[in-house]
Amino acid sequence: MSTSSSSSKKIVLKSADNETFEIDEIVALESQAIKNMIEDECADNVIPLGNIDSKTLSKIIEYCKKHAESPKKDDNADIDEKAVEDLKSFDAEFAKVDMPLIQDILMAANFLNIDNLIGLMCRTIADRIKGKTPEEIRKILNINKNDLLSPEQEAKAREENSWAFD
Amino acid sequence: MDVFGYDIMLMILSHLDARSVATTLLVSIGWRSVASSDTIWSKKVITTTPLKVVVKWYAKKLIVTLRSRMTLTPIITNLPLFWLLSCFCMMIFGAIAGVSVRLCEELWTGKAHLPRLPRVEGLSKLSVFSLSVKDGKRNRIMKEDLWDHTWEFHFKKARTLQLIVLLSMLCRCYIVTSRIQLSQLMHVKFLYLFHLLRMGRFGLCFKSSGSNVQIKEKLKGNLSNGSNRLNSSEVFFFDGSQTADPGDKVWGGHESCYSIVTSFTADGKMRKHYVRINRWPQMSICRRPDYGWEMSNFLYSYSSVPDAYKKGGTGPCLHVL
Repeated sequence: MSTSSSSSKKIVLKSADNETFEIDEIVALESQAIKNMIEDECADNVIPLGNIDSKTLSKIIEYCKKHAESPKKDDNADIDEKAVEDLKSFDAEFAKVDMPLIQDILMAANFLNIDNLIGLMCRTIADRIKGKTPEEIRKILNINKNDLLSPEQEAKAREENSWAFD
Repeated sequence: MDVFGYDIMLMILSHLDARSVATTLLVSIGWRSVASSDTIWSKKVITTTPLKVVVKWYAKKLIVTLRSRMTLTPIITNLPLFWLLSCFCMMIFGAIAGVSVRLCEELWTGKAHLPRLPRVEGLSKLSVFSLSVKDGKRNRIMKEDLWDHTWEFHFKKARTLQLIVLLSMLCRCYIVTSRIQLSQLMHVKFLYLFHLLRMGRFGLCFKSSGSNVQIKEKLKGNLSNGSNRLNSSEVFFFDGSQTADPGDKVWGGHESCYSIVTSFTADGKMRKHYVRINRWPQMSICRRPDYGWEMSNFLYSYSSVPDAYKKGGTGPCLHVL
């Protein structure tokens, strides 16, 4: 992508609760979906995002800003070690939010097609359910009672994979 | 309904180890369908090269060999170099075998043997994984295990070895003195010593097939009451002459037999089983965490040589429910 010509261009995103966010185009380009929209020239000044609320959107913009600022791997072969470390600690800090917000961010990132953010959120969720019991995982992921396995199904799964449960 | 789509759930699970993925099987119907998919489990069965593992194992053997060489030097003087060389050859062979080998990533890493995977169509990857793990924890040794692996023979102590050599020497003296001269006796003595030590280096090899190894299999009466899957006593003979040199005057034509002995007590429980070769003391069996086997008595021990590179696995075919 060319940065010099579009650096000054602004993109306006509108959340589900009608809040608008004005961001640099380069930040918006972190999202593959928005990038495609801009390239296809089907994006007006304002891009409405009907399924993302403002809280989630502001978090995502925070993430995209940080990642747009830091040097890309393929741009420069010898990237600053410090910048990489910095980005890592930012990601770690960014993921320290409660579960519902993580789920919202993950859904939105999936919708906006931001690969790095999807990966980060998946890793975060995986870290949180690692080594937990099924009951704890249900609580963490807020699983609906209607989706639970029947006692027979659960007993069967336990028996077939007994190596994992002792 | 689960909030995430299939792809996202799959991505989350791909960050987890096998045990955690299996745990999510119980979480909900949606998670179960993802956690039992072949996609996730075939990733757990992705292949890697166990070169490091194989070389490490042989390197360890080399060190042990070097150490034991020190203690045995008084007995054998002309062979250590040969011994050393053979160990190097094994290392190189192991490395070459390792390169061409493919192992299942998580489950197989560092394992000495892979179970013989069932070739049943429609069996999910998760089932294969579960069955394999189960088999890895099997403590009961089967004849297939004895056949499929190459076994390394060790004496417990150099002193024990000397004692055995002495004892067997005495036995042999008793048998042969009546017929042959003392000089010939010395010759036999040397050969016997030679063979014992060579066994120590190369190990015995139980083979289930092959044109040069003749196997007589004899099943003794089934002592168990009811169960027909586990034979209470199984005796297998193999012609030991093929593992020794054709010209070997001591062991040529000698027939050894080994047996896996197990029995049921009155309350239907199975007793601890053991393996016995000829009339040597019975060996108790234990399984290493890396799926390898150890058989030992107070005199000597056998350990199975890692052969995870064997295609299709080793040991008895897994029983599919």
